[in-house]
Amino acid sequence: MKCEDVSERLSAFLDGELPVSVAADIRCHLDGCERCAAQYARESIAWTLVVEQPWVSPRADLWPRIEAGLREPAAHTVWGGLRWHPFPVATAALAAAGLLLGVQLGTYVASPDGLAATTAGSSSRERIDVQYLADVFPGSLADSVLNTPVGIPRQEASR
Amino acid sequence: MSDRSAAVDDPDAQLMTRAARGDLPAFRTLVDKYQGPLVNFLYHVLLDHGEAEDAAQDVFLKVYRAAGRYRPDAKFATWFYRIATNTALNVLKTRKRRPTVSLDAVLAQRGPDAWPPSPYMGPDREAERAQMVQAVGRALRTLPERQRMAVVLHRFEGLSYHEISEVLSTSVDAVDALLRRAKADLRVALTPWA
Repeated sequence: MKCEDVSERLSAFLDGELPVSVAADIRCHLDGCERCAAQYARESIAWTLVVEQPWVSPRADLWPRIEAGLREPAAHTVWGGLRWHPFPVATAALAAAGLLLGVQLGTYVASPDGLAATTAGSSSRERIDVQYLADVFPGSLADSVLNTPVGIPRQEASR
Repeated sequence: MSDRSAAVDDPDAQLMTRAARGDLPAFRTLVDKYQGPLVNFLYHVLLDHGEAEDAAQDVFLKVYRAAGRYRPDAKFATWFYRIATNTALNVLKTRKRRPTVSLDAVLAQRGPDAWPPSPYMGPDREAERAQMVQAVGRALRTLPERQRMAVVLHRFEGLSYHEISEVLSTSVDAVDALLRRAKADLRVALTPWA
């Protein structure tokens, strides 16, 4: 084998990832080539020293934190929410229907007929409150408001 | 041995299958077994002890919540480290600051006990070896992330090239290239002692 071919395969050879026959050829080359043997030696030492790096241990409270996390509902990303939701299409359709309904309702309220309906509703509620005030404070402004004909501004009615 | 038969004989795959059925003690057994290697893996990838701890918790929660999707037709470790790798990559993507705890700082705090025991070679050789280990450690930290992941998965977790290719969602040839370049970079770190 040529040195270039061996150099390309030295890493896999060091990791035992080569077929037996190829590994045998490389070993034979290393026995007779000082340059490749030196490269192999340096890589072996560096590779050995990797596992001598400090080992970091987990804290003792890792399991309690995991257990606490299992009790909490999962925090989903948008994608996660779609993935986990059983009926994404139905949900989207429901949201669209709700939006359409809201637009329709808003359009109706903003229309003259809709506005009159809401105004009438609020006027009757306002009238009831004024009645209560008039009952409690006879002769008060509330009393005069109650007796003011509809359509006439209150200020003008009180003159 | 095929992947399917390996998984059938894989006790961790059996534990995960039980965990998927709600067996919390089985899941606890997996946590006890993998928490050390996982935190170590994440530490050497993220280079920050606090982030490694947080990411480890995140990984185990993801593993449990994904239990329903686990298929025991491959080794559990491969599936597990794929989740861990993706979690680490997400942390690296969202990171906005440099690591607050450097390996050197950890070593300074832990003193002589930081290094695993090695055959005693005399004070001069011991000091030289310690310097070489530190040099390799510094070089390891400067490796590109995917190279560093491949190195840690192979050297610390003992995964094969094929298993690493599944974890990193790449080809065996790509794993070979990653480790080849990593070895070349680490070899350069030992140039002062050549």
